[in-house]
Amino acid sequence: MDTFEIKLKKKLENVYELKPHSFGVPLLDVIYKRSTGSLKKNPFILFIPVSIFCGILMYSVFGSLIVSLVSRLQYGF
Amino acid sequence: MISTIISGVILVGLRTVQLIRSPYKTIRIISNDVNYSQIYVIFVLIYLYFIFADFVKRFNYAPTLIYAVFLLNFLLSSVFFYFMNVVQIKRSDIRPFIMTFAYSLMPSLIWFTINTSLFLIFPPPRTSSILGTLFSIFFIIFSMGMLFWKIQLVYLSLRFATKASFLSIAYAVILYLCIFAPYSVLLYYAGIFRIPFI
Repeated sequence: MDTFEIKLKKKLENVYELKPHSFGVPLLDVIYKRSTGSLKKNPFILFIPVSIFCGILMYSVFGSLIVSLVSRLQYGF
Repeated sequence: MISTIISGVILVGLRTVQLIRSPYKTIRIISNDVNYSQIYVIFVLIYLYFIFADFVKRFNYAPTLIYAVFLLNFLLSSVFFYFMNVVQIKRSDIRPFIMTFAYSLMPSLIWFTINTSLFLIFPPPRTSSILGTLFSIFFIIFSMGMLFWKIQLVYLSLRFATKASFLSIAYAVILYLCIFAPYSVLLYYAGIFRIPFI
């Protein structure tokens, strides 16, 4: 087998390694594919804004309670 | 021997960076890998962390004992998902479970190491001053980021190790948590782990 064939075989093995998901509901399948697609490469592009949003949301909902939560987490090891 | 250790250290470093950049592709490669020196490197790093944490804040027990409990947790978790997979799909290879689960410990290791370092630099308790609140918000943001990364790596590990569907993995994880949550409470009251190192 030449190099191209070996590479193609390996690529196809990677593609067919996992069976595609099916929830049985087309809408759920689309949501799953879109959300996981954006997480396959550089997921922190998504994680960082979501984390910032969650952090600010938690502060605006719980206020100074997150200060005591962080103190507890800092003792958590 | 030395070349194996050095290659293991380099591989772990490279793959940790790749797990940040392209976790899907990297976990797929790791699940097919057979180089066990990487696992030894990760486990040695975790052991070093326990020694460091004991130096910063004295544990109730010797760090070696806590490390042994961690190893037991790791093995039990791997064996649990392995048997769940054997029951569901009848595949019988524990190697991908061990390899991928070892790498999915990296977010935990990073979080615990940074948390311990911050404990040393900015000892708690935090106050409600502007600086204390800002630190708390940044700490929460950092912890959330690590948590999302951890969840993603655990999911991908299970996905590539078991080849199971999303729902099968979700059911297995729920069952695992039903067992692990009371076990964690037990470890907490025994004074071994406040937050379990998984």
